Parts: sequence; structure tokens; C-alpha cells
Amino acid sequence: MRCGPRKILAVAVTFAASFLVATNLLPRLPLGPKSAQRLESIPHFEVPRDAFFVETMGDELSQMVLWHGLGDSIDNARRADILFVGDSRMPVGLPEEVIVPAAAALGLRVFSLACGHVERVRFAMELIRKFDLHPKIVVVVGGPHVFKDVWSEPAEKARRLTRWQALSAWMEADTRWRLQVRLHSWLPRIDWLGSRLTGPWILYRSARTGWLLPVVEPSSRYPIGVAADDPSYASLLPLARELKAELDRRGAELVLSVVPYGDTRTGHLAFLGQELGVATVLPSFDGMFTADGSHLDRSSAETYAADFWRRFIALPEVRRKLRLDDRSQDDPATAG
Amino acid sequence: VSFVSLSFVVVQLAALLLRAVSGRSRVAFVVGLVALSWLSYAWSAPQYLFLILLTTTIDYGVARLLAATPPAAGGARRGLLLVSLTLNLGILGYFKYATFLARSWTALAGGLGLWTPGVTTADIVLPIGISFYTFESISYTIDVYRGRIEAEKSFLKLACFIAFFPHLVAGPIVRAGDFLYQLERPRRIRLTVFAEGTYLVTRGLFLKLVVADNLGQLVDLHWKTAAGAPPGTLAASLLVFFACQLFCDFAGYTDIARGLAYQLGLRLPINFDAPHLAVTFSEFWRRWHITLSSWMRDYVYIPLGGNRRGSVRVAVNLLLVMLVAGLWHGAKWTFVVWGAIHGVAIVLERTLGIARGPRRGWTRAAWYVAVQATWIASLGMFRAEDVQQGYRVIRNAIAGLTTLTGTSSSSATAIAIGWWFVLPVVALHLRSLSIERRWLGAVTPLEKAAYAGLMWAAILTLYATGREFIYFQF
Repeated sequence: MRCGPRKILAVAVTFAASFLVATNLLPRLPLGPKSAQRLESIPHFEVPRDAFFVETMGDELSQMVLWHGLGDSIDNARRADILFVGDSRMPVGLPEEVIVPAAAALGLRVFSLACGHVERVRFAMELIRKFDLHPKIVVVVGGPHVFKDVWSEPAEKARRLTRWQALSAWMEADTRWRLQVRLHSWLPRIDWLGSRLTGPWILYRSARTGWLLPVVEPSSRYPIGVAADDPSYASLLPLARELKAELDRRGAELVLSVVPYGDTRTGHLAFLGQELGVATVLPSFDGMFTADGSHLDRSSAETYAADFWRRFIALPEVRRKLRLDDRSQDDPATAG
Repeated sequence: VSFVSLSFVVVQLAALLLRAVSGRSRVAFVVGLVALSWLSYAWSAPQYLFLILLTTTIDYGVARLLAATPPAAGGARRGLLLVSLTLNLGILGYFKYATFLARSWTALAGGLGLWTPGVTTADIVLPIGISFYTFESISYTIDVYRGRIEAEKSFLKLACFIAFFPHLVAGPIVRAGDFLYQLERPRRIRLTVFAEGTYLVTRGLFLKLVVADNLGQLVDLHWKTAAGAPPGTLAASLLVFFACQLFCDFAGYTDIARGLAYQLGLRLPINFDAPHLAVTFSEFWRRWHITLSSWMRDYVYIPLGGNRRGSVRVAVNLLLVMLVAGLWHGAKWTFVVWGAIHGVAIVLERTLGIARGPRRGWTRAAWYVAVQATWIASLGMFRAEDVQQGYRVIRNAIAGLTTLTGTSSSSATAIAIGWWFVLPVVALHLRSLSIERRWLGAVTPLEKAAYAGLMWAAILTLYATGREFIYFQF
């Protein structure tokens, strides 16, 4: 069959016309009640420097990147004086823009191993072992659940992959996200069945500091709630003791803290602090709000993080370990 | 590498570049294709690449030996064939059925105090695509043994036939006689052929990403409810959705595979021919997964005696073939039951003398409904985690239809939306019917351009979360 220029033009025009009509028509199709339809556009945002996208269609990539040492993250964790451990509430509630400059002012490097999807202490501890990390201080930030001895689903998945599979999955997810951002900035995705492209948060992760960096976040305000403590926190002790022993072997101090959320529990701090003989930091929850019922909103987080840092850096164990008083004698500007 | 991954786009672009720069040089094209095919397989499962190499080497060697053995030496030739079959089926059996057999034996013998294997839950990871390339390799050796084709002299060409990346992982199950000759002299790339390939890829992506994945999302979400809830239309809806999901997933894969091969100037056989137009069970299997059905016919059914040994033996042969076809899909009792349902249905049809279709209009219509309803219901077993769950879904679906009990769950809206995704399947079949009955002519290039525009709009806006192709697990 011959294929002349006219025929090619006719096919191209038909394709374009059909595409244009369909892209305008599809969002208007009454497939179900209007309330069930979502037109998802990805808003414009600035991609943070040295950061990678971490969450796509329900899949968190942080655990995969950290577990397989992809990119520069683990190299930066190796250089850190203080490692922060916890779930997604930690980096949102103690944001990078407060903690990292405050630490840098004292000549300290910090790195966050905290991951979303309710990651627990076990994952961070195994990372410390796997990559033989030697921080001076490890701060575990979270409710009692972070001491439950389980792996999150993304961490389990990451462990099952080979390094090559993890690398290709990461590249795949990253490229797909870049394409989706471009595509859905002009052509919305239509969702009738509740499989959302993004949640209310769009998160990146800094390879330099390990912090989760929200580029899009919800704007709601929910008050903080303090829930009644469990009758006993003894079940948390085995993992907590294992972590303490591991850090003792490495000459690191353990500090415990919490970031408030919808039904915060704090009793485990006092219990574990006493049982393990470690310091705890519990800033005031007054005037705090969450953006989604679980993570602090930005202004609360800034206030809370500043309060946290002030209390943290005043702890005698911390000052001794980081030799802050020695330094402050040499240079008054670095005094906490 | 999955077709719906960006890594695969790189592989296909590399193949197209290879096609363009190799010109009509057969050697460069074949070497490049083999390298890309192995690379794309090793991309996700490097540890199993050796199995493809092993299978290729075994069948290359056996076929060459068969070619060198005179036809008079029947025993030696049968021995060689036996070596190939034993090794190929041994590898397939170990990876696909060892765990199943161990578990089944443990369940059966454990209670009787008989010996059971120490490792009862040993999960041997199934190498992706093994069922497909093993069958292709076996068919090559049998065809050489039967004298239908000559033994291939070039190891690379045979390797290309077995590992050619578009069909490696989930078919279609290609015959050597249909493929190897195409490698002799690569054809020029023609715009119309390339455009046809691109259209097939577009249709495949649409069927997979828009129809199959959206329906799959619904089916996954509500399947357990359909099995556990009281009878209602939910179970029946889900079975229809799953039937459409399975069709679009597998036919979509085949479309993409055939389209990619077209773009490279190679032809792969069709695998689906509007199966939901089939009026009889026999016809259904001539329209559904055609390359597997014809493989079963040529390499299992006919060697068992085919139609030649009396009605009882024919019935037994048909049942056996369908049980093997069921087991081919996976080492689970649900697939055995699924195969048995279709075996019994085909035997019943032959017994009633309507294998070629009832003649009268109303009996024809009634039998059509029976055939399609049986297929859809049987997929309850195909999709189920175990036989009990499959039975419950089928029972709930039938009870729901007969009593017309509404879906009481809050998922009613989602289910109602799901029916819209069935429409493309209906449209596809109606267009095929219009061609078969000559109501309309074949799809013209302009019509294809219009469909392609519509499908790309849907792919870019209505795609669901990327699920793996269902047939990857087989």
C-alpha cells in the first residue's frame, strides 16, 4: 500500500483532532456521581537541591534508597555527628530548616534516617549495623509504636530486592514521577476509583541531610491530642535495650523524644529513659496543630523544633558527648 | 523488563536503532536482537538467564543431532527427543511444580503418618516466562523430530527465536517454523508496517493501563468481600470485571508484543480473536490464547490419539488436555479445577453434538450465553486464592443473579463506575463481529488514527496504578 504525503497528513490530523476532543470530553463524562470524580493536577513546585522524590502512588522509596546505599545518602549519614531516627512525623515536626542550621552553627552535622509508612527503630538500627555508622548521638523521635519490633512494608520490600533491582526501581520511579509532573501540569489525571496520584503531601528527601522535604503539604489545622498512656511499656524494652547496647558498642549516646500528633502518647519516654538510663526531651505541646491529624503544620513545627533544639542541646549528656563546653571555652560564638 | 516500564522504552529504542543501523545485515541484526533480549531478561532476573541459555543449548544440540541421525534410526531419534523433553520438562517441573507437589503430598500424607518432605513451604521463585519459552523450545525440537522443519544451524538464530524480547515473558507462544525464516533476510522498514505496529502498541497500552488496571484495582479491592459477603450482584459484577481485566491484560500484552515486533519488521502470531464472540466452547479455545490452544492440540492432544480412537478416548484426551492447560497456568488446585470445568464443558458439547454450534437461532443464542457465562464463572476459580474461595465467589455470583439481590456494600458506586470500563471490550468485540459478518469493512487507517487519538487521551488521563501483567506469573 502506498503512503503518500496527503494520506499521512490526513492520518495525523485525524489523530490530533481525536486526541483533542477526547482530552476535553473525558473529564466531563458522567461515569458516576460528580463527588466520586477527582481531576488531579500536580501543582508547580520548586524541587529542593540535592533531593530525590520519595513517594509515588503509595510506594515510599526512602527505605529502598537507604537500605541499598543508593546515591550519596549513606555517605552523608556516615559523616553525621547526630542521627535522627523515627517515622515521617520526625522530619516534618523537626524540620530541616530549623535543625540543620542550628546544628551547623555549632559545627555539627546531622542526618535523618527517619522514613515514612510508620517506620520503626529496627530499620534504622539495622542500617547503622549494615553500614557501620558511628554517630556520636542517636535521637529516637516518636511515639511508643516506633519501638515495636517490626519492619514497615517498604522496608520489607527493600530488603527483598537486590541492589541492582533497587537501583533500577528507583530510576524507574524517579523518571516516571518527572514525566507525571510535566504531563499533569497541563493535562489532569482523572480518577474515579480512588487511586490517587499523590497524597496531600508531595515529599522529597535530601540526600545531604536525609530530611523529608515537603514541597506540597495540606493546609488544614487539627489540634494536638494527648492520649492516655498504655498500662505498661515493658514490651518495648527488648528492642530499646538492643538499640542501647548497639549504640554503647559504638560509643554513641541515645536520646529519646517525641513529636506530637493527633493522639500523642508520652509515657514511654519516662519509662524507657529510666530503664535505659538515657536522656529524654519533651518540649511543650501548647499551641501546636497538625496539618493532617498526624504531622505538625509548618508554623507549629518551627516553634516546636526550636524548643526541642534548645532543650536538647542543653542536656549535659549531649554537651559532654559533643564536647560543646570545651568548644565554647575556645569560641564563645558556638555556645549553646 | 515489563512493557509498561520506562526501562523497556530504552530497550525498544535500542532495538529500533539497531534495526536502522544494521540495514539488511542479517548477522548484525540477529546478534543485536539476542544481546538486547538477554539484557532485557537479565535486567530484572539476571540469576535466571542461565536457564534460557541452558534450554537453548539443549534444544540446539538435540536438533543438530536429530538432523545428523538418519530417519531409519528411529530408536536413536526417539532417545534424543526424550532427552530434550526430559530436560526441558524437568527444569519447568522443578521450578513450577516442586513446591506444589511437596505441599500437596504433605497435605495428603502428613495425616497418614507417611514420609513428607522436610521443607514444606519451600518457595522456589518461578523464573519469569519459563512456561512460554520452554514450550517454544520443546515445539522446535518436536518439529525437527517430525521433519516439519530443518534443524537450525545458527545457534544465535535459535537463541533469537527463543529469547526474542517481545514474546519472551508472556508469549505469544511462537513456532520456530513461523519465525526463523523471518531472520534470514530482514525486511526494509516500511512506514505502513511501522504505523501498524505503533497502532498495536497503542491499543495494547490502552487495554492494559486503562481497562485492565482500573478493573484490576476494583477486583483486588472487593474480591474478598465478594467471597465472604451474602449473595449479591457484587460477585457477578466482579467476575465480569475480572473476565474483562484478564482479556485486556493478556490481549493488551500480545498487542504490544506484536506491535513491537512489527516495528522491527518481524511478525508474531495473533493470540486472541474476539473470544467473547465464541458460540461454542471449542470455538472459544480457537479464539482465546490461540497459540497455547494450538500448542496443546499439536503436541499433547494429537499425540494422545486426537479424534481417532473412539468417543470415550476422545473425551479422556480432551479432559487430559484441559487439565494440562489448567496446570500450565500455575501449580495450584484452582487451575486444575478451572481446567477440569472447561474439559467437562468441551466433552459435554461434543456429546450433545453441538461442537460446531447449534443451528437454530434460539438454541444458538442460549448456548452462546451458556458458553460465555461458564467462562466468566470459571474465572472465579482462576482468580481465587484457593478452591474454597473460588467456589464461594461463583456460588455468590449465581445466587446474586438468580435472586437479583442488590449490592448492599458501600462499594456500589465504585462497582457502577467499573461497568464503564467494560465498554471498550464490548466495542472491540462488536467491531470484530461487524468485520466477521461483513457489515463493515476492515478498520481503515483513518479510523485507526481516530481510535489512537482517543486511546492516547485515555492512556494519559485515565491510567491506573501500574500492575504487573497477570500472565507474567505463569
